[in-house]
Amino acid sequence: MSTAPLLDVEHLSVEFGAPGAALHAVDDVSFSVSAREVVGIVGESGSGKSVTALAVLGLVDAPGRVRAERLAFDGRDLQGMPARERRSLLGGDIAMIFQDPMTSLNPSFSVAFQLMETIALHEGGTRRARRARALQLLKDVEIPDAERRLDAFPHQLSGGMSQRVMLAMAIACNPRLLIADEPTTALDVTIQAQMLALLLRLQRRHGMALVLITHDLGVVAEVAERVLVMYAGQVVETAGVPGVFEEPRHPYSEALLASLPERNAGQRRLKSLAGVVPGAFDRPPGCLLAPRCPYVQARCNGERPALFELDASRARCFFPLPTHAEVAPRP
Amino acid sequence: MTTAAAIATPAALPAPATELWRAFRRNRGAVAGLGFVVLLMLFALLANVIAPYSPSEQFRDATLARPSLTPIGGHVFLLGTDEVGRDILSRLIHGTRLSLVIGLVSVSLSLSGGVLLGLVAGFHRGRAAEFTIMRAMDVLLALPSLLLAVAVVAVLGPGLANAMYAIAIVMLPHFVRLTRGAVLGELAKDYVAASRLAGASTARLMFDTVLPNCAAPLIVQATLGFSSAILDAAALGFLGLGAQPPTPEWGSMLASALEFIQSAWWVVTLPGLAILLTVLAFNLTGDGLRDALDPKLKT
Amino acid sequence: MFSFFFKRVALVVPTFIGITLLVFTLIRLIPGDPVEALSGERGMTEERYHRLIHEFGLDRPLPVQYADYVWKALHGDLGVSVITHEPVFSEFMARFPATVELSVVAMLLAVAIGLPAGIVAAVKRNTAWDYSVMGASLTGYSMPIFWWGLLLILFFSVWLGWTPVSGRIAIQYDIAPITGFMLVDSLLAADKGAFRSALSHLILPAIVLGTIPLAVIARMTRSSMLEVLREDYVRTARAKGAGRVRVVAIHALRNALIPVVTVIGLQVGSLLAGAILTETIFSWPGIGKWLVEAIHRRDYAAVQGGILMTATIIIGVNLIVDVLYGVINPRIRHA
Repeated sequence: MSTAPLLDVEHLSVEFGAPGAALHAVDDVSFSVSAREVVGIVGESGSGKSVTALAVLGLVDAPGRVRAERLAFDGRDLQGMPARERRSLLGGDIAMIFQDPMTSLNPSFSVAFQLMETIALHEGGTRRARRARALQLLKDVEIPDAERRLDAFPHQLSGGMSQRVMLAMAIACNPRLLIADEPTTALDVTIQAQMLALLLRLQRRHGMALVLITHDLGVVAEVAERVLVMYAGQVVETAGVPGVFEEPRHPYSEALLASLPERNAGQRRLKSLAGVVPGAFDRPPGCLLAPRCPYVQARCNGERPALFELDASRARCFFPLPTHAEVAPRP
Repeated sequence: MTTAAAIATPAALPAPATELWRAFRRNRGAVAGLGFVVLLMLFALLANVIAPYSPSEQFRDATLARPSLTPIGGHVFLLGTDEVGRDILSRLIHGTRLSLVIGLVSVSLSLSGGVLLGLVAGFHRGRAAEFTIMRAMDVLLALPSLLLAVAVVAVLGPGLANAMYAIAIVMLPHFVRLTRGAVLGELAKDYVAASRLAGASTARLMFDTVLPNCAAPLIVQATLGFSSAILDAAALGFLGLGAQPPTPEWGSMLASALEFIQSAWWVVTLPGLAILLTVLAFNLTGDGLRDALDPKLKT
Repeated sequence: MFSFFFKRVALVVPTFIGITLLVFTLIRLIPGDPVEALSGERGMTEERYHRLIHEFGLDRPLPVQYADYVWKALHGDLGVSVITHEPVFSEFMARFPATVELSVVAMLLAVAIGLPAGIVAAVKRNTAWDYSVMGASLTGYSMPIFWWGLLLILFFSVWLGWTPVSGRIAIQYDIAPITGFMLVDSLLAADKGAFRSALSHLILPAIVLGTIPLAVIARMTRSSMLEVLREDYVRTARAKGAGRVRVVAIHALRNALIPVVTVIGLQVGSLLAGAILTETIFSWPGIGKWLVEAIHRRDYAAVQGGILMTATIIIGVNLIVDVLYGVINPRIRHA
């Protein structure tokens, strides 16, 4: 990259519980996001993708412990920053929307209040000006009948509309980075596509970097330029989007793809890996996937692999899957 | 240990009673409360043995004696004496027996009556029986507990037995509501439909099938009911409407205390302290039970 | 919104009917002769006895007696006190302001201390602050309040001599009862000495009476606050960059207070019950003390009237609280 990354995360870890018997929700995660880039973070529930985002924003509370070698936004060290300065970034330069819009809006305040609050917190302005901005924002997120919706209360809105309001709050102050944590998971299938399209449109229009957290590979394929695959708190592969679908280098990525319904047409069962994701008490000493990996070898059980640089991607595997170009036989 | 091995040998599930005790044990306050309750029960059972003197024996030469180790007329009054020379320590110990009996009788009466009414109300949903019962309970709840107890005692006449009946009536609506609520919840579940299909009679359904599953919140309420019974009995005793002299009930011991507040602070402080500690113990135990049972209620 | 209001009012009616039935039956249940009970007279001549039966309507069928009783009650006629021969209703109303004044101050104290205590306990969960607030609250509602009153009297009046032991105001003050509230009346009379005296007489009973509501409010606020702080919308507020204070004071509190308001309202019943005990200890001339004396003196007309009035007031307050809840909860207000 010729330009410095907008968000730089190096060796981020988040732990919960007693030291020694801790749950490693996030384990040595490193990634970066450049301006205007769309990055996907993919993984199943419990893979640590949401906690990673919360840790970047500084929203992980005790008893969680956040540690990172480097956590920087636009070159500024987020960890060393005074709390007030970090707070001024939230909602301003960095914004986040969450999974369940129905519970993410405060039921006691109107949409107008909540929108205007964001504006007041970061930009100020007269009531009239903020209200006009709020109305415009509702129109930007394509809410029909925006005038009326402005004074509505959250319980009067549907899921799709609530999520649009969340989106409006997020883009209110023109953030440079928007993190969307499973923004469509709680919505009806028919609305999911609309929401994604809207998200992309806004991303392009505002020139934001977008980090899209999801468990849905289909979404990643459509929207992202790069993807991080997470498993049990670790990043197991980072790659460009078309690449990872055609040539996954990590066995877990391969398994994820293999379990897609589209790739199991005509089968009676979806292909999946045996076993379960390790929890707090049964974390393997070596590679976290080793107990379930179809390609496991002796070394995998003893040593923890690092994230190795490969030609077009990085994978946390001692024996990454061969590309189409390689013809090496597998045991 | 690999994950595969972990799946193959699941740990045996512990018995519900053990799990309950383990969850309860984690709450130190609750354990302390339970310990104190056990202590009280010992005092109550062994009152005649432990208490130095009879609770009604009057030592004419030692009225309003201060708590001390020095004997007066050959007798030691560790916690002093009251205005007619009765040993306060002995009265407090015998009062333990009374308080526990009050709690037991009131709660038992209230619990059995409340469960019965609650079951009837729950099983006869939408019919006259339910309506009458629940409106009657609303009426009882409209009056603050002490006022209602006072009203009942006003009618029946003062005395410890009447006080216990009054308190039982006051607690009734809580058990009825709890039972009815739990019954309604259980009736919606499949196992009840299955029992009905198998031909179970209503009575059998009520007692064998549904009731055991409502036990948990009832137990908690009963434990907390002990503390409110003791407090209400003490209040009635204080007002002269409950236990009558010379019964060593803690509340009535305080009835005459106001007169001696300037001269003998121990007559005022000690019986009330006994009430406080006892009620505290039951409250801690009940709260602990509720917290321990709570996650279970959800399964 | 209106259907909510009407439904609430409709529910009150059967309860009120039930209360009148209860009170009506209670007096009929008193062992002994009802004529003697209602008149307070003993050993009457046969002629007087029959005349009284007719006067009290005891010769008519029960349902008629009941209807008559309710009709009279709705018009403010609750009979005549056996002891003072004054109408029960006016006896009640003469003493009611004293109880109201005490209750209001007690409730103000309970809210002013209990609410912030609960908030602090929730925000500083599992710290020393939390444990001390919860410990104090648990002790508060485990105590017999008459004992608590005695202790406070012992400490502040007897040992320290800071506050008087009983009564509403020192004897030398004679304040015109305009509102019936001593604090207000003494201010209206521009008598600073009287005001100070009234205040010093009020403070201990108010603390005693307010203790249990305080404990309940603190507990309730804490648990409500803890629940709210876990909600998603609090996370959203923080993600918007709102500071800690704003998140707690505006986003969380507004929602946490909704159930607390109901609890505060329901404490009114507890206050009136507590008044019975508190007024007895402090010789506070309110309805609580009056009721206890009436019972001891077998003034059944007064007991009956007092209970009916108290229950009616409590039902009324609960109704107001119910409606208020509907106003505060946006889901109901903007249905």
